[in-house]
Amino acid sequence: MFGLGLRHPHHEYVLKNNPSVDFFEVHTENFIASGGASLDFLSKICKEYKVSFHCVGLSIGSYAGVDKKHLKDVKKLLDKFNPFLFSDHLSWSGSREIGHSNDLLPLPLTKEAFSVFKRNVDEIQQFCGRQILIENPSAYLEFENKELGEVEFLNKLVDETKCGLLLDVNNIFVGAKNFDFDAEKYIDEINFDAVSEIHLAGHSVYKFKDKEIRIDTHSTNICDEVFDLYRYFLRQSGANLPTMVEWDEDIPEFEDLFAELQKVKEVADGAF
Amino acid sequence: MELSKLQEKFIGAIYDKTNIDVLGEIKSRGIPKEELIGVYRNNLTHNLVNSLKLTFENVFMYLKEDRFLELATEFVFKNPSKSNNLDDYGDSFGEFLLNTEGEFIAGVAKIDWLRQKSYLAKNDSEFDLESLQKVGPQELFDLKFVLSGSVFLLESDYNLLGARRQSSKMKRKGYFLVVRSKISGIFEVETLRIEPQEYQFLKGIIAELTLYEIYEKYEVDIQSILQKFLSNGVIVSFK
Repeated sequence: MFGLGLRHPHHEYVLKNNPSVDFFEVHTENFIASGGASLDFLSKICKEYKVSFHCVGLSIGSYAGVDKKHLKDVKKLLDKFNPFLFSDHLSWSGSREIGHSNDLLPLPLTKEAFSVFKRNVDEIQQFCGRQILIENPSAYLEFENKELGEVEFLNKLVDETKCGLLLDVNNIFVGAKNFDFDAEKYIDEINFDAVSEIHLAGHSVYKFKDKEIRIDTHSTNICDEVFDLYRYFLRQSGANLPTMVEWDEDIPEFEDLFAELQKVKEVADGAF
Repeated sequence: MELSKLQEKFIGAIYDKTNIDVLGEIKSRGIPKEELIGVYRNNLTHNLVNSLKLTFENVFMYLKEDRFLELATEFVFKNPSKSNNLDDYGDSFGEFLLNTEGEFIAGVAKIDWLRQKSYLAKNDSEFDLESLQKVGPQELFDLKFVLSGSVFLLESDYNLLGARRQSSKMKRKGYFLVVRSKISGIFEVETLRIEPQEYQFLKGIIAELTLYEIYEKYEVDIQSILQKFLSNGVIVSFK
């Protein structure tokens, strides 16, 4: 299955043209409303397509816990539309008490952070009555007190909570460049059985004097190295998973996004 | 450092670049730690300013891009987001603008905020005209009507739907109604200037007064006003 992230500029186009896409992924937070146009649109899309819900605001790594009102809002949407996949990130974004960044912030990979994250994943899965997939994040800094590797953290989380994983291949590549680790080794260590979805996206490179930093901007085409890594994952895992392209900034015409998805399909077809 | 402290300090550093407590917790990697925090600060500014730009589209139109971005950025760093949902951000932007841009722009911001609330409001069921027609003329005055959840009212000393230049020179009291309609399956939020009598009538309904009580209190032309607000979806039921 091959899908696309569905963003506002393409809503009308998709309703009018019914493009041949296996599924669409939406940001759940964009549809938290009591009524009106956004919910109306989602109802129409869910009638025509399989839809996955990708959250960006559960702030699962927050020490303060998951915001109960937000979780209730998300559950209401899950119950109403019954998406085939439901996910959020290995990150945190803040809380009512200390303020929100409305962004995906890096989590210190410590035993304490693991306990907090596990507690919050347990609460989400229990409250929503379904499995959540946790996405490996893009990060731009690391903390000094690291006690677990990212893959170790994710695999342990799968073992202890029965959550699934959403593998973002671009994020692995961005992390490998920013923190100088081996991206293929990262993939080798992942619990393949737990991976239920793949994300692919473009990123940007920023220079700081003689150094550079890669930022997960979702504003460009998928680069060749990310396609290589995707091919590597497919060969190593032998998995045929729902795979989608995310594009959130400088969003192109739908036809261009669709063309990017065709490239993904060709890479997947040629991988084996 | 404990996770609770680290997260508090991290958010603190994003919202205030002079707050450097968290830098000691960040691994060095050849790029100044301030710059690394700066990546998250840029994301935050981008996300929240963009959210304000979408919500306050009329303020944006009046102030033009440069001034809007300057003020929105200042607002973001003085008013941290308190919700996971960006739709909740900006309720005090109008008050903030009152200090820098004056009453007219602050009023426009209030209208923009109400338009956003109206856009997200619960859908209404269709008005049961048949049941209303069965109510006798005497009982009609004992009825209490209910407004659409997408209805919001605003009173201002300015004509907020007029041109800023003229309005700021000449105050002109205005009463405004924000309401969402659905025509041919398309939702649309409208801002309408209404008469003072109509405003009083709607206030009376919000206060859960019967038609008779509204008539007694405000002496308004009940029949024509009721007709108008029944036909444009402002009134959605009665009890």
